[in-house]
Amino acid sequence: MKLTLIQSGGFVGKTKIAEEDLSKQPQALQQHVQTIFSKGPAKAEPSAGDLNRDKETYSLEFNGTNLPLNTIRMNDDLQKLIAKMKGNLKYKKS
Amino acid sequence: MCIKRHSIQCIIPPYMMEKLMEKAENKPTAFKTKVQAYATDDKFRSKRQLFSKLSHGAKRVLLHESLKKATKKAAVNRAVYTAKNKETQPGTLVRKEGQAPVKDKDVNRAYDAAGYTWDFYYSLFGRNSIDSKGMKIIQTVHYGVKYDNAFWDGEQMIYGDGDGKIFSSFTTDIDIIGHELTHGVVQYECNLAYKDQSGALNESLADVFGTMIKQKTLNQTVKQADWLIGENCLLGKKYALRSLKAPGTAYVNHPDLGTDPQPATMSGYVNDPSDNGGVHTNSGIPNHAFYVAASAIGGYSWEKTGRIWYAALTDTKLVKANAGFADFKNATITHARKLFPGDSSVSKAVSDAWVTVGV
Repeated sequence: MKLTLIQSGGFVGKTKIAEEDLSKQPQALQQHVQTIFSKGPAKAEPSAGDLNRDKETYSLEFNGTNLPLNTIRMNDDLQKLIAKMKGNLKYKKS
Repeated sequence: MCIKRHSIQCIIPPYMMEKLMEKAENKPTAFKTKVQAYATDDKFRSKRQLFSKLSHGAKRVLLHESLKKATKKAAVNRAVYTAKNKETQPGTLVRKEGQAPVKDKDVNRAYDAAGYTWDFYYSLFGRNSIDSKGMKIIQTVHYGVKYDNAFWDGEQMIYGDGDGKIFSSFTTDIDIIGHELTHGVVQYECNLAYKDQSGALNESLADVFGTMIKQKTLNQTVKQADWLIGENCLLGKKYALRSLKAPGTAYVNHPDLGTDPQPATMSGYVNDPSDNGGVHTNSGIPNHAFYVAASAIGGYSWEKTGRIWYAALTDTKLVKANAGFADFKNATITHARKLFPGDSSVSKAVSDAWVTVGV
């Protein structure tokens, strides 16, 4: 039941990750995450109108499925968990 | 240890060199000579702190001669704001064009580096700012809390303070500021799509021009330059963020970041879905092509190789938004022939450089 927040891009170009054991979260939050990921993968393509360069992007990984964070409709509890995870991001060594 | 080096660089210790520079600030030509000597001094190069060591007076002199030549019609227009460690932009205006330095070093560094960048594009290519129409250069410093990033949002630059442990402020390197401003230039020219090879080219152009802006500011030849990006921002004497000379070596076994993943040739090309197809990784390949070409051509990188790369990036017929490495290679060879018709060694050096990196 591992939920992984992945930060990629940015000027440095290095991936950061934060992990959370979802089984330690309330049942309702677990169910909310499972519902989100049961819909399958969605791919975020940078749109021509997105002129951000070197801005970091976020995605969430659960059960082997990766979803761009900006495509997920989160409830308040998941938003709080993501905010906590953003504070715990560590660089992934290469 | 002083063999083959100019005697001044060997004999005069760094603190004396700083004093000499202060005295020479009112004599631009002499001052630039001293800056070059200072820039090639091993003690400073090893510390990789040259740019941040320059005083405001020193920076002012470097800019003064060229900026004063700018006409009223084409003049730099800068505004630096602070986000006060919130994620807001542009934030509160701290320093605008013509105002004296303020107490905030990040504000002054962003202001000065934007001036060098404007001067670079105007004096060499007649380009008046990011859009070539005199666009105001807006920058925000102190974005977020311990924010370890700098970015261009389509309208302005934003810089974080870094966490103070792995990264210092992202305003500490002129090449980073030149990099972000160049993303703006690319946006108004070929507007390369930010994914896969076109995205890596976009990143590479930002690095190439960022490093040329540093080299021109320090008056360094291709041999004197360190070809590093972010050597002050990434803390630690041994580290920088990227190397155009030797991609993959900017940092090795860093305790937090590991080892620089950039490839120098196509054999190391990666398809990393997490970074728009590895735009910050694969940029090492065209970065290295520029370094190889500039080294073969010699002299100052901006005089020939830089002109070729600029002509390519502004050629929207040859370099379209979805251009790949091969498209850019062809554009640089075409413009090398056009710009230097009497010297085939230039276009050959460019062509050979792309072959070297496997494009």
